[in-house]
Amino acid sequence: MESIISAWELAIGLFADGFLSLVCAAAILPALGVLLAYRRLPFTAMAIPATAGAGAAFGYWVWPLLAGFTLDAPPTPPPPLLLVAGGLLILLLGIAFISGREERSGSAEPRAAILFLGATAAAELLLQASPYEEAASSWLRQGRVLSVLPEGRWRVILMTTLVSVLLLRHRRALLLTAVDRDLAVTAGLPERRWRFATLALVSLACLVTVPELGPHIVLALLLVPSILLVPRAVTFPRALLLTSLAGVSSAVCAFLTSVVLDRPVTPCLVLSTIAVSAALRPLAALDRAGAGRLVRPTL
Amino acid sequence: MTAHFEVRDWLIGYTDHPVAGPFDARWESGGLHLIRGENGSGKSTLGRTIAGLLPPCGGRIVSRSPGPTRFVPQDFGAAALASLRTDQVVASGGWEGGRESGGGSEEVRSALDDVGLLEFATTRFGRLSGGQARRALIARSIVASPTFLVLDEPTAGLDRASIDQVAERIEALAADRERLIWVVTHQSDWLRGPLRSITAIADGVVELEPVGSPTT
Repeated sequence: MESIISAWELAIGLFADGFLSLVCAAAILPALGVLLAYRRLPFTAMAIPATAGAGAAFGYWVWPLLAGFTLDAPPTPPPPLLLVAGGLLILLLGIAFISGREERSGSAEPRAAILFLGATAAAELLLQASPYEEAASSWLRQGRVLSVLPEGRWRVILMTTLVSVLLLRHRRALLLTAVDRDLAVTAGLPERRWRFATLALVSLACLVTVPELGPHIVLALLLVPSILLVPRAVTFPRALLLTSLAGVSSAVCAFLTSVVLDRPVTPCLVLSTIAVSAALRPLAALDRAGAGRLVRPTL
Repeated sequence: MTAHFEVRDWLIGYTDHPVAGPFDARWESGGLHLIRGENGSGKSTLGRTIAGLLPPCGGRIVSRSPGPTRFVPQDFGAAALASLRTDQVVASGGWEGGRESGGGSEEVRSALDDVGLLEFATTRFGRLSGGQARRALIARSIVASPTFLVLDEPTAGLDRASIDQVAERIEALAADRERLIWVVTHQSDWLRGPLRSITAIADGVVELEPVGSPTT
């Protein structure tokens, strides 16, 4: 036990920036995932981080071409802003690709699935073609939680604060337009505008977190807690709070496991998110009377 | 104060595909307004256009009283609502413009009591029977005290006992002179309460027939 505690203290001291970034992302991404889960948009939830990842990969590929490098002088790492800008560029192209279908058929999901696959494949090829091949491919598969810099941490904290404020301030409009379009419209909420707002919030969160933590961590946090907990959540606050709790608990568990077992954070986080979210499912179904009593409808 | 809704040269339908009209109409509160027609005649389209869920293909609203509108849909099987507790579903009806204007716990309690579902407040919406779910949606629609209320086939798929329960609640709602209520249905033999007008739709023609006088 003592060795675990000392390993934890050492890791926190060494990787505080990465840990804080991970915890912030783990608090906000699952709550955003709730909005996508109520809208029944699982493929969109997969496509946005994958597209942001492809954009960051584009940044890795294009930076050496812009900055120029020789074999004697290896390229400097691409500036973070370029990775975010690359993500934004690819994301806008992706949204243009899926929104045309949405207007015509009412569902963007089939195209979002294609976008996910295309973005994943493009990211792989772009990173292989870049001079950072090994390090960049490792970022794609395992993230880089342990090498987040203080500037990156502040970007994640700033994004988390901004998105949290907007989410809390507009939670009713965001939730109502997600679960019932007709009621939202009669209540004076333009559904299309709020759908755009939802996708904009998710995109912002992904654009900032993907370059720091890697696409797989973002995808897992966005998708897993909401998919496992929303169908059981009896109230909207319960869905938002429990998914965030699942995300943060998973992040702490994954970090601890990673440090103690000396394994990459990303796979630890994916597995711990699944396990923690599944473990919290009974809590989502507790009724207001609480006291551990599960809802047992008489009908 | 009474409520009214007046339209001129209204053409209803979908983009580039008018279904019925043009027609002029003025509906006033003080009883129920029946919209009837055969399947596919466009009666639900008219209900959705009145509720603001569809834009009219032509014509204009001449005047209408201020106040919120609510629409009780024919299909209540919204999967997203199924896991939620019934009181949460009802409370969401009061989120006018994204702000809580009538979904406080007392209003929710009162609305559930009005439709006889108070004991099912903490039951998941997806576990309610068809009649109970329909009444829960009526409770959700009245929690915001709407001036305009459109009920689309409120008894579709219900058994006789459930139809009687729904009819009783609609009759109670019709007693409010400040509320304008449309009931869209292809069968109206179950309907109780004071009838103000019948809007009949057939072969693209809309005819408004006033019936009776306002309730006092």
